[in-house]
Amino acid sequence: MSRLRDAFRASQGADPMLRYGCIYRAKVTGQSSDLQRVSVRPFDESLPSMADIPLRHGVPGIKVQVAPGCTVQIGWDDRRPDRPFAALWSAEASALRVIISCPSIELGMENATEFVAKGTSQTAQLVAAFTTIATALTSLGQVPAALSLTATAAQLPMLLSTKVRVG
Amino acid sequence: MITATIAGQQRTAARASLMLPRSGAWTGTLVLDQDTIPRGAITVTLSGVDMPAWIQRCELVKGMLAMRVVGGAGGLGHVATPKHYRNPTVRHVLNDLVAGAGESLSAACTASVLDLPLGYWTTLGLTNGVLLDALIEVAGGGCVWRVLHDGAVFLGTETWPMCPAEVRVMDQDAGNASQVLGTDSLGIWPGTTIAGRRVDVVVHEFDGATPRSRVWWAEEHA
Repeated sequence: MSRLRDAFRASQGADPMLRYGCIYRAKVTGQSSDLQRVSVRPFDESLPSMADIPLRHGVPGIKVQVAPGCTVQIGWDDRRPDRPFAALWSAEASALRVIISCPSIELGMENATEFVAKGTSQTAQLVAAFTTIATALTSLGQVPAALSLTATAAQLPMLLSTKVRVG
Repeated sequence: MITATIAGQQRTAARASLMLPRSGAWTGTLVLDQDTIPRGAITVTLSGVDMPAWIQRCELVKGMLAMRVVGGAGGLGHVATPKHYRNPTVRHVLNDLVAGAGESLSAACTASVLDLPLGYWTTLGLTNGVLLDALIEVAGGGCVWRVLHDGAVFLGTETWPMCPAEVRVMDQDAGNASQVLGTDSLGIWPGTTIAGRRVDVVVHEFDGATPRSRVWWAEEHA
């Protein structure tokens, strides 16, 4: 290697934080139980394996359980070696579970109005109303015994237990 | 007077220039009347103070040995082994870097800086000196590192003690906040104070006649 090139590289190294401003690819080797951190092994051998670094997604309020072996990007906030993070998945990465924590999710179109199904609390209200009506109808001899109807209603939460609206 | 002791043989430098920065390793160029090329460790003696150093490069020029040396054991220019830390302190990272470089850590390091907690730390495959630069950047608070005259690595904040040498101003460059000082002892060290001014970098030059010390003051560049 030429002295000129060495000198150029030395000048690049004059900023100690320069390399911490770069983004590197790494393979996911593990994930914390709360899904908030990952352990990775970078492809660049000048980087160490890194355990328990914060995992970020492009959308707030999301947790993703990723399949081991996925490729993710790693970097450092403000180019500081004490602030690593992982973010940005490669195309072949796959999720095992996605958790979205927010009051409303709209699919298909903005301001969608049709619920795919009802939430847990609304389901409980529906079950209570269904049971009340069934009991009244049973007492009037209009429907079979309330007990069997109540048992049927108890199955409803399983059918109605999501919180997504679609357009 | 500046001398170099190589393999037990002490020789007076025909010419020498030592640059002692407030942050970083000190370096020097020396020309000796010697016809063999040494390698490895060397002791540079500046005004009676022995300074362990490492020969980075040397060659014979017109029958004289010209060499470039760096303070310490020469390991700060080596590439560190990559390592990742979770919840370390500055002390953990510093100990590993210094030990990995084969250098020694000074007992004069600032304890409060060494105890600073870091959530994480990533040591990349960079030279130990560059990583020490990164470490003081993260530590903040005007923290510096340098190789002391005894060869140990200091990391911490300045206390700015008085410079022990008596000096006289021989020339000055106000535009660069520097002065050329004459002293009989060359006993000017970075991180000290002379007449209320703080020494940032000092270059001791000896050409066989009059020793000179060019000092760059710190406060003008604060």
